[in-house]
Amino acid sequence: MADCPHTIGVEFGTRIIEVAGQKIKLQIWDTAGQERFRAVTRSYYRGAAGALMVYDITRRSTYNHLSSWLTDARNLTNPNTVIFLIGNKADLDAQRDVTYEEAKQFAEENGLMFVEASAKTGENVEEAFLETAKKIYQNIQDGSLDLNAAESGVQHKPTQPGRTNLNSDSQPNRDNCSC
Amino acid sequence: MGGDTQAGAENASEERPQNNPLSRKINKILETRLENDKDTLDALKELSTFFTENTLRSRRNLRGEIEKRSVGISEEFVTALREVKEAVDGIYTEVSSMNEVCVDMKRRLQATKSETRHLIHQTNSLQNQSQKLRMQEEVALAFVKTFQLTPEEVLIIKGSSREAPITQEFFTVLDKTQKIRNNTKFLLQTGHQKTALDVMEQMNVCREAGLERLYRWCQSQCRSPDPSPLLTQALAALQERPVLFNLVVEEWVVVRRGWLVRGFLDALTIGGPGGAPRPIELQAHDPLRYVGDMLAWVHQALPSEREAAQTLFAKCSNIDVAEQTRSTVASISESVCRPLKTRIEQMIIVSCVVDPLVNAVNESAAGLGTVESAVYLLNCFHQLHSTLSLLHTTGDKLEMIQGQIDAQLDTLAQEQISGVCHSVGVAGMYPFISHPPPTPLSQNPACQPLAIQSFMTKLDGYLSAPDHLMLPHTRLLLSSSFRRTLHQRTAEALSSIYVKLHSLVHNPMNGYTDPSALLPRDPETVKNLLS
Ligand SMILES: Nc1nc2c(ncn2[C@@H]2O[C@H](COP(=O)(O)OP(=O)(O)OP(=O)(O)O)[C@@H](O)[C@H]2O)c(=O)[nH]1
Ligand SMILES: [Mg+2]
Repeated sequence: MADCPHTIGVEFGTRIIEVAGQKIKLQIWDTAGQERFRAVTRSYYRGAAGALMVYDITRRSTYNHLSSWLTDARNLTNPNTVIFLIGNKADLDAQRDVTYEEAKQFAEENGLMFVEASAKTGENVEEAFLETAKKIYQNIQDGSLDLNAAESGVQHKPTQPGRTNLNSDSQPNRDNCSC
Repeated sequence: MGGDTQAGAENASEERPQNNPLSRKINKILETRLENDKDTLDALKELSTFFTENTLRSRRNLRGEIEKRSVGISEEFVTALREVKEAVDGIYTEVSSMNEVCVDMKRRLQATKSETRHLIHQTNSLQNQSQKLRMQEEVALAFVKTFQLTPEEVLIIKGSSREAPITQEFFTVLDKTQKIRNNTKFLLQTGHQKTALDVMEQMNVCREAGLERLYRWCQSQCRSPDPSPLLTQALAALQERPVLFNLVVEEWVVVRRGWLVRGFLDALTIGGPGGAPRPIELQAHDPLRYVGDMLAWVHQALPSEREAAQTLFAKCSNIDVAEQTRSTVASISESVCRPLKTRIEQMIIVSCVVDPLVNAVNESAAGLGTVESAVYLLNCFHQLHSTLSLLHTTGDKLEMIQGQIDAQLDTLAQEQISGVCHSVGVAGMYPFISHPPPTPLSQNPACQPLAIQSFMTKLDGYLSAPDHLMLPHTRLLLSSSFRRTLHQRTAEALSSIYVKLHSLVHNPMNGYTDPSALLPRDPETVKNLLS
């Protein structure tokens, strides 16, 4: 795990999930957390239907950076973009540096969904993506997300009921590293 | 004897008195010494036998008596002599006739002898002839044995039918024809040119037919999954005809190529018998495993090909067997190159190259500003995208690259739009245009008539030369379609701003005194001019 290399620019993956009987294809963009890639990675906010913002519960500094990441996310996405806050490394509870309650409160204050997860054990990882997709789907259903808007990040395909562009924003630690 | 007797008598008559001779005679008688004269003694002795009485008469008759006795003796003698003569005559006759017989016999013997000599001569010559003939027969037999094939052998070589299989005997006979051909040089050396050429010709015809038949048989054996072990010998024999030899090798390669590639495709798509092992293509999602399995299959398939080829050429002495085996196996294995190559290319030119390449591109873009990095990335991704679109099954990678293109194009469009907005002086008004405040817009410092007037002037300038306001970096975009998209999005954004502003300015609620003078152009016209 120590050798896990930093993400360069962005990494990409797709996943087809089912929400309310509808097949939804998620395009997942894992953006680099390192400062030098900011200019490149900012481009990926704009078209995103959702963003997963990840911090490391064992390193308070990553939690402290959240507001600046959130500012970027808010500025570059449309107001209806679903933002999910994730406290990663839940498996390292002994080394916890940020309490669940504190982060939960921050999430509520900023209108973010929140969950603690572990990329190592896989705990809540699937759920986080699924919840994000569900929320996006809900936004589409109740009309708060306009499919026709150029920047909705959602494409509707006749053959494929829905397709969602998910943006997995990155803190020094992020959630879907499988190494 | 008679003479002697006559002489005695004469002597006696000389005793008669005669003058001179008489005296000489008397003298002589007187001088004779009777005891020494044997004849006289004998004669006297004889005389004593018949002159017994000395009488006158006796004396007078003496002479006659003596003559009478002499005649008697002579007669006796004659008689005896006659008998002898007759006997001698008989002998003579017999000897003569014997002689005659002998002469005849001799003559006949002579004739027989001369006759026999001829016969012997004839017999001898016949014997010689027969000897010669016997030798000739032996030579002829030896010749036939050495320089000809038996009818059975000819049948073996030429085949009883078109489909007659090749047997071990075939090669024995084929060898024999070669031996015979070699032996013709002895015929040549011994001056039998014509025979040598005839034999050579016969053997050539025979071999030609045999090799032709062998070639057809080899062709059919090549197509058999279980070729006869005699194929090895057949190939060795066909070396003599490089054209036929190469045709057989070619057939072998073509057939085996077909099998190998079919086997490979089956292993990829169908799997082993009954589905085990499973089709290799099921691993297509795992490049390492997929490529590994394909290479393993090829690796497994080739040793048996090599072995088969080695066996095929094992007895060939005119060629480099190792080299021939190598080139044959190479030609056969070449058949899987294409399917293997396309699949590996799809797997590796793709994952192993694209990911590091995208990383390297992102890495090198890291130091650049927003616009520069967007243009740079767009150019790189454009190249990558057009290259990858030529390949099949790169969907996932293309989607990734397209996503990056879309993201960078969005960014660039955003930068471009805000750049143009600043240039035409609408940037300050924009927040109020998109979210109009409750107060009349004309009272807003950013949206004063003067500002709107200046916007209109600049917009007119933009409309006459839209390219002027394009970000300089966008000219570096390689893709004209990207440039077109940027242009289009800028035009759409500007036109939608104009539409909104136009309706706001013309709304009396916003308190603009002469809206038509401020924004003289119809939104539709602006839209048309921009597009
Ligand atoms: N124990 C534990 N370690 C984790 C977990 N998630 C990530 N890590 C480790 O944390 C380190 C950093 O993880 P990354 O996923 O590479 O971090 P990142 O946010 O993607 O970093 P960038 O790519 O530079 O943005 C790695 O050594 C991971 O092995 C987790 O849930 N538990
Ligand atoms: Mg990363």
